[in-house]
Amino acid sequence: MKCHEIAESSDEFLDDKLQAMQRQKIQQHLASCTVCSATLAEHNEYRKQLSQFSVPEPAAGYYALLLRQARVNGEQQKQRHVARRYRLQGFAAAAVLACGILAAFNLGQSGLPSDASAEQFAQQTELVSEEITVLINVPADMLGARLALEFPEELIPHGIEHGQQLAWQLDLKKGANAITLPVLTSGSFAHGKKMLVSAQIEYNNKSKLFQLPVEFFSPHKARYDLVPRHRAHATYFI
Amino acid sequence: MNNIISLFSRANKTQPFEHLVAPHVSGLYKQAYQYMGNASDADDLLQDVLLELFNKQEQMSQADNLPAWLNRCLFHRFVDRCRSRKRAPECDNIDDINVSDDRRNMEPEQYCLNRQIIAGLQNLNPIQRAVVSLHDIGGFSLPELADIVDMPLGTLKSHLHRARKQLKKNLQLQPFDGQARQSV
Ligand SMILES: [Zn+2]
Repeated sequence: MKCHEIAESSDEFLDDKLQAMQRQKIQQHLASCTVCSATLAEHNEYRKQLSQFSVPEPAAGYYALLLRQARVNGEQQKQRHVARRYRLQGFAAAAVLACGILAAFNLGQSGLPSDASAEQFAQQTELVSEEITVLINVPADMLGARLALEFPEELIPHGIEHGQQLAWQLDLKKGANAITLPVLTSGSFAHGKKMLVSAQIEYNNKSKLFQLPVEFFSPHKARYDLVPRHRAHATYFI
Repeated sequence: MNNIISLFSRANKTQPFEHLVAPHVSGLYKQAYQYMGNASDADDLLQDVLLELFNKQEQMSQADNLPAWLNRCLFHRFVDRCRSRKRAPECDNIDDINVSDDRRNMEPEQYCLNRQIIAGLQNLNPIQRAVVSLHDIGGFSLPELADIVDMPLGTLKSHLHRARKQLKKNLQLQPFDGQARQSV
């Protein structure tokens, strides 16, 4: 067996994927060729180092947001091509509403004071459909938790005719849970306006209340930062 | 109540696009990171690719080997980006890359090894970087790789051979006598 043949089969040799006969030939060669045995040892070390390599994990919830953002961007690109005439005047297109929940979630603490700004929502004849994403980060699985969301008057949960409150049971998985809901909103309301969504989570007879500022971002420029793991701020996207 | 139920069955229904890509997005991110050498550029590249994928959902749903198909898109985006970057000033200096977050979340030993490998990969040309990281880190087979990078197997093998040689050099995996090496 020649030296270059050893080099060519070194992966299969190290992976133990060769037939017994072939393997034996290589072993014989290695026993008598210091160059090949040194090269093989080096290759083995190389493989070992690469196998220990790992890309740093991005922040929790990152992938879900990335995918959703791609979809929202893609859908909006399509809409621009197909249905320009449906665009409402005065409404900056591509607004998506998003809000986040604190990265730390400690059950048992009492809720924050509720002070939703209840500015009058001028009755508009035209409403646009948007999506709101609530990001909930929990330290452990919470199966069958109850989540109640209360929307400001400017946002009407899609499909609900009366009231601004929604409550339902769901399974929250450890880490980030992104919940996307369709909402209707007036086509003319200002982007800079401050709005709050209240979220209450109940689990194991404990409950916690969050006030979530609603942030706007334009998907075409959207660059949400990676969620810092140790920062206790609610806003994930800008 | 019915309204609420219908609302949430709709809201919780996974979108087809997300459903299709979600199982592979972490792998794509990791690959993008190996290409770009840092999280922020990986994120940028991946955003581009995901938008492209959104417009190729039909093709995507017909792919026999979805991870390879997705990596093919990622690879071509990466190569395009390298070409357009050639005209722009290089910012590939590994020391400029902000990795403070990585450092915080990793054992020092793991962190050092990662940095060495990332630096080693960054010193390869884009094709070599792609070939070696897809094969030796990502675990793609040579036939899959030939499909991803659109190359005949023979060409691919010689790229892989050269890339490994260079990467081993970059990783200073040379515990042996240089003269013995030359006599091979
Ligand atoms: Zn030999």
